[in-house]
Amino acid sequence: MSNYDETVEIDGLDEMETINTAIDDLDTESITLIFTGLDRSGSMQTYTMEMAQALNEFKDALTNSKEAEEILIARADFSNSINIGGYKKIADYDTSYSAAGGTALYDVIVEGAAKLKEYMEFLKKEGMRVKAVFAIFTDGEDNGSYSSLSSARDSIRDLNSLEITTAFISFGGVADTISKKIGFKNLLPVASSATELRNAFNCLSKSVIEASKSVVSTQDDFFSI
Amino acid sequence: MFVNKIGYHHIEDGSNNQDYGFLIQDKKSKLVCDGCSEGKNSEVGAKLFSYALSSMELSTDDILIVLNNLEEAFKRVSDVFFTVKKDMNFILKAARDYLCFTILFVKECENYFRVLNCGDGYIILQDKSGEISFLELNDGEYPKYYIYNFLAEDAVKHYKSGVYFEYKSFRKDDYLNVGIASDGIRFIVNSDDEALKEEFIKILKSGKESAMKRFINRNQKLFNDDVTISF
Repeated sequence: MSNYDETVEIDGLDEMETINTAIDDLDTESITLIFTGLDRSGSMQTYTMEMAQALNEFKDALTNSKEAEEILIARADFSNSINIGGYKKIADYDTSYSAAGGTALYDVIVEGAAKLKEYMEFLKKEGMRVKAVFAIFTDGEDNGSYSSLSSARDSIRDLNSLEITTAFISFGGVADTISKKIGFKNLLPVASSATELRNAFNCLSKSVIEASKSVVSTQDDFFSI
Repeated sequence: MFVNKIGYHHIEDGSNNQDYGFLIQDKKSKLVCDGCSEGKNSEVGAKLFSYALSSMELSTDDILIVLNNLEEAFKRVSDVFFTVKKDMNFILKAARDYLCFTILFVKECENYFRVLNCGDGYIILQDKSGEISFLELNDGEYPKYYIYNFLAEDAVKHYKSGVYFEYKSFRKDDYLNVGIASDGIRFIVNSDDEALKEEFIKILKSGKESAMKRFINRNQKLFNDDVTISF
């Protein structure tokens, strides 16, 4: 039995706001939520330094955009287990990177989709106009998830029906097929090299910025910029 | 705070937000223009007028110069249409479709907040203790549109001898801030829901534009008419 209360409450703030960004900290009525699911499996070890660099450049690109104040971003890591962070301002985005373990791809999709929808719902109730992009970067197929392929497919189908942009970056080609099976509407296949890795995140940052500019969700041509 | 939001009625029928205005801090000037809903595109005139006035010298405290600026800005806007074609039917149509809008203007001077209005709306008053109240500008008559001064008597149904700007001043000894709003805020000002009204007033006091926009979004159906607040 726990010796302490695991529920942390901060006076005046909904729990949703302690995990994510509080509504009073947002100086806008329109926001774009970006979910970035990052593969930290052992096969990515070769590219540890390049990933950290790519993530830094990705963060810089978003920070320097005119839309920066209207973007909140969540980082979710998956290897043997998953770790999903809250939706925070770009300045708080963690760009550190290390890799080891398996690929709990389905788990991060199922859990990440649920948390995205939850926060979106909260923001909409507060009068915010919300768009969202759900992006996954992976070099391989799932191994080790508790969730099934069909659960992941249901989650993505749900996001698509809510007009949330679903985007999949397949590093090295192995995961191309799985992205289609799960139902991602946008696929960016990239070869496994350091240059292609950086190009992929460069493309992602440009696509995110374009998505946050547009009035309606760019569901089907997210990577076409 | 400057907020300009479309009303629920216009969202439903697919028409434009017909309000516009500005808040220019360094010139201590506030403007709200509310386009006539019977005018097909009265927001065009409202926006052109806002743009024309914002480009003029507004730093003066001299009320006669301010009045002259308002007149000059309106003349420039009406000339856009009246010089296209010197045909009475065309001019009347242009006046009806584009140029029927109310004008509410506040100039913060050294010792006073000076308010000029032609047409209805609200003055928002914040006294020295921070409390907010609303003064409705509505004499129950047909709306006054400044365009009537540019049309022949027999061409208009109302205000055949023209319209004028009404003037009020509020001492800075008595008020922290004076602003203006289009009559779209009538639904919240006259609401029976005291808690909701209090929330609206609290946001006005905070000065947070995004919070006000979100409040209107959350209560979109209440705000049936376009809302513009310059406070």
